[in-house]
Amino acid sequence: MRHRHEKRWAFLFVWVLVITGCWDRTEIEDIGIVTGIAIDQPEKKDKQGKDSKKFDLTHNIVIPQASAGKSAGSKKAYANVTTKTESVFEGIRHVSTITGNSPSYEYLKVLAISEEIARTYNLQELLNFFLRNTEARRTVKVVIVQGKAKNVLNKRPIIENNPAVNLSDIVENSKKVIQITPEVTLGDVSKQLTSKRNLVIPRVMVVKDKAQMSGAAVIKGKNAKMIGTLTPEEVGGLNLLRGEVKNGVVKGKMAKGKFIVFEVDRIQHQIKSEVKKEKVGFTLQINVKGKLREDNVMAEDDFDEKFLHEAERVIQNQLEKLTQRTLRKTQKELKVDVIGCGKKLGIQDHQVWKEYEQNWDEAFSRMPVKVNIQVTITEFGTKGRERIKK
Amino acid sequence: MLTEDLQTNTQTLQNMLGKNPDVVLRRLIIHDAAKEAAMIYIEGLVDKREIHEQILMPLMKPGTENTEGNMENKQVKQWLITEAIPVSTVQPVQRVEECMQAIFVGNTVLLVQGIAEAFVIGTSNWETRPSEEPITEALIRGPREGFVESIHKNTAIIRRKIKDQNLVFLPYKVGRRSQKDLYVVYIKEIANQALVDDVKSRVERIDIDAVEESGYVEQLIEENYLSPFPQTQNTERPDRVVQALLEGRVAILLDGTPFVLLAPVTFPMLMSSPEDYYERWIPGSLIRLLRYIAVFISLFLPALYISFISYNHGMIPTKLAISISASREGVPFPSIVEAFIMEVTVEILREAGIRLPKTIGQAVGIVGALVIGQAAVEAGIVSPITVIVVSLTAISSFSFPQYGAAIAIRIMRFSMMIAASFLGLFGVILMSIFLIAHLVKLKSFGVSYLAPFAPIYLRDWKDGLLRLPFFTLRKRTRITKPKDSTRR
Repeated sequence: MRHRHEKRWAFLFVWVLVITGCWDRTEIEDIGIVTGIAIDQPEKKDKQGKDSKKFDLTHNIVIPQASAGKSAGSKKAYANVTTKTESVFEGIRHVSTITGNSPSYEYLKVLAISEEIARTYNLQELLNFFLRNTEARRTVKVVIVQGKAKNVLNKRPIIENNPAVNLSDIVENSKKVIQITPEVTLGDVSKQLTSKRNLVIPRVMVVKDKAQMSGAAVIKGKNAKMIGTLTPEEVGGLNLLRGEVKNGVVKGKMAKGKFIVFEVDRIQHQIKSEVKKEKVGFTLQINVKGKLREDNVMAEDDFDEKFLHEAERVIQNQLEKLTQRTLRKTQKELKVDVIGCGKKLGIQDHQVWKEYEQNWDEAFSRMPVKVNIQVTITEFGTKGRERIKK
Repeated sequence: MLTEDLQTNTQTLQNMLGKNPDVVLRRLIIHDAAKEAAMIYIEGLVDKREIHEQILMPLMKPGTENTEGNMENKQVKQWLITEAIPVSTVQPVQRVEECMQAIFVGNTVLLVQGIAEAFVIGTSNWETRPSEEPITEALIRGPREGFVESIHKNTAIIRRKIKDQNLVFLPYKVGRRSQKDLYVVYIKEIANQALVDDVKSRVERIDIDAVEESGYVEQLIEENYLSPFPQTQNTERPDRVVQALLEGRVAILLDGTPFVLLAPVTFPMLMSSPEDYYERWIPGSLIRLLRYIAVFISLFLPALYISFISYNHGMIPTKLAISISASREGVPFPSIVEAFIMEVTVEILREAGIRLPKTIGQAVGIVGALVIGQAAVEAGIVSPITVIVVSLTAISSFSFPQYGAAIAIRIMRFSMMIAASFLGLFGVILMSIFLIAHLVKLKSFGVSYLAPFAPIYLRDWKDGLLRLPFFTLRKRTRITKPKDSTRR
C-alpha cells in the first residue's frame, strides 16, 4: 500500500513540475536584443511645463540579420525606438507595443544618460528599474552624455556594427589612457549612491558623428544629481589621486621645447589622515613607477643618472600640476570628496569621522590635502645612448 | 539406469533422442572382445575422423594380442578404457541422463553388450571461428585477440594470460533446457570472498528455460532493473577481463557468446579502456580526461542548447547571440522540436548503420550526415547551429570505450532534453540532481556506482580521472575490497 502511494506522489511531483514549465519560453529570434538605452529630456516640453517629469527613453535594438549576415555593412544593423514616458517601466512596456519582439535586457551594455537629465533627476530613482530588473546585469556601463544621449546610439561606429557595443568597448579602454575615467557600472552607481558617496561617471560626447570620451561627470552622493564636469586633464589628476591608473601616458616638457613621454606602469597609493587639535588633514603619498617611452632629446645619455633624474623631476612636476588642478576643481569649486578621503578617515579615525559624517563634503572643502608624488623611471626600452659619441 | 542388455539400452536412448535424422546409431562388433556394441553420436558435433580412426578401427580390427574373445565383462571395461580406445577421454557412466548430456555436447557414447555402463568418448569437435579482433572495443595499441563463442577456448585464453594456480573456474549449468556452461572466474588470493559468494548465489538463482547470451545472465543477476545504467560490464577483450580479475573482480563466462561479464562495475570503470595502461601515463591520462569531456558534451549539449535558445538567452555572449538569432530567423520550429527532429534522425541513422552491411553502412552515414543535414538547413527547417550541436553530440557519444555506457548516456541525454524543454536551465540542473542521486544510490554487487568519487577513496583517484604512472599505483583499488591489496 505504502509503496503505491509513493509512486503516486512521485508521479504527481513530476507532473506538477512539467505542467508549470514552458511559461517563460521565448525563442532567441523572438526577443529584441537591446544593447543600449538612452535617457533624454523630451524634444518638446509638455503643456504643463517642467513639472511633468517626463523623459524620452531610447532603445537601441539589434537587427540580427544585418549584424551577422553576409551583407552586414551595407544595412543598418540596429534600430532606435524612442518613447516618451514618466517612468522607465512604462516606457519599456510601450516599446513592446511598437516592436513585435519584446525587448530583452540581458544583453544591455550601456546606459547613456543625458547631462540635462542627470542634473535634474535623482539618478538612483531613475535607475531603480534597472537595478530591480533581474534581466539587466549589474555590469551594465553607465555614461553621461553631453547633449542628446540618443545621439551616441545613433552614430554608426567605424568598425563595429552596433553603436552601443562600440561605446561599451570604448569605456573599457579607460585602462589604457590616463585621461579617461575608469568605467562605472550600474552596480557601482547603486553601491555609491546608496551609501550617499560621490561618484565620477565617464562623460561622452559626439564629435563629428563619432562618440568619444570626454572627461567625466561628477555626481553628488547626497542628492544623486550631477553637479559638474571634469576635463580630461582633471580626470587624469583624479585617477592619480585615487591611484586607479593601470596604465597611462604622460608627456613632460624638458628645456628648449624638447619633450619626453612617460608611461605609467605601477602606482603605489596611500592616503593618511592626520588629526591635530580638531583639525583634520590628509597626506597622499603616490609613488609612480614607469617607463620612458619616447623622447626627442636625442643627444642625452640614458645611462646618465643626471638625465634620468631630470626626466623624473619633469614628470613629477607634470603630475603634481595635474593633481593640484583636480584638487582645486573638486575640493574648492565643486566641494565634493571624490578621492575617497572620507572613507579613509572613517577607517583610520572613526570618532572624528562621526563628527563630520553628516556634512562631510562641506567640511572636506576646507581641509588641507597634501600630495607627495615620487616618480621612478624603471626602464627606458632598448635604446640607451647615441652610438657615436664624440 | 542402464542395464546389461544392449538392446534395451539402445532402445531407451533412441526413445529419448527421438527419430531425429542427426542422431546416428552405429552397431558394431568388438573384435577382440567378441561382443556386440553400439555407438551413438550426433552428426556435426563430432569429429568423424577421430571416430573412424581412434574408435572404429581399433575396436573392429583384430588387436596385436589375441585375446580369443574370452574376457570377463569387468576385464572388457578395463581393457576398453586403458588399451582399446586411444582417445584422450573415455569416461564410464551409469545414468541415462549423463549419456544424453554427453551426446548433446558432441561426445560419442559406446554401449557394450553385458556391461551396465556406457562409455563417453571425447570426440566433441564442432566448428568454432578463430579468435578475431573485437569489433566493439577496438584499440590502437593492445592485443588483437578477442573472445570467441566456445567457452573452452575462452578459458584457455584467460589461462594463457594468468599463469597462476589461484585462478579459479567455478562451473555451472544454466538454463533448464539450454543447459549452457557458465563459469564464474576469479583469483582466489585476490577476490573478496563476500563478493565471490554474492556472485555465486546470484548465478545459482538463475531459473529460466534458456540462456541465449550473457545479456540474459546480466539481466537476471542485476540489482536495479529500472536503471538505464548497466550493472555488470560486458567485454569481448581478454585483456580487460584479466585486468579486472587482477583488481579482484569476478568474471562470468558463458558458452556460446564472446561477451564476458565483469562484476562489480562502476561508472569510472566503464569510462576506462585497457589502452589507458598501454599508452604512457601522460597520453593515457589526457585521453581518459577527454572521454569525460565527451560524456559531458554528449549528455548536456543538446539540453543546454535548448535552454539557452528558448529560456536563458542571457547565458550566451552578445555577439554569439546575435549571430544565432540571425541564423534561426525563419526556422518555423522552436529549438526543442528542432533538436528532437535532428537527434532522432541521428539515432535512426546510427541504428540503420549498424544493421546494414559495412559498406552500405558508410554510405548511409554520408547520406545522413551530409545530405540530410545540408538539405534541412537549406530548406530552413533547422538552423545550422542545431546541426552543429547534434553532430558534435553524436561524435562525442562515439568516443565511449564501452557500448553499455554509451547507451545509458544516450537515454539520459533525451531525458535531459525533455527537462530542458519544460524548465530550461533549471530543468537541466534538476535532472542532473536526479541523475546524480540515482547514480550515488545505484549499487553493483554492493559497490557504489560512482566509486571512487562517491564514496571518496582518495587513494583510487590516482587511477580515476587520470591514470598516474605505475609507481604510484602500488595498491589495488579499494572499490572491490581485495584480499591482497598490494600490486607491487
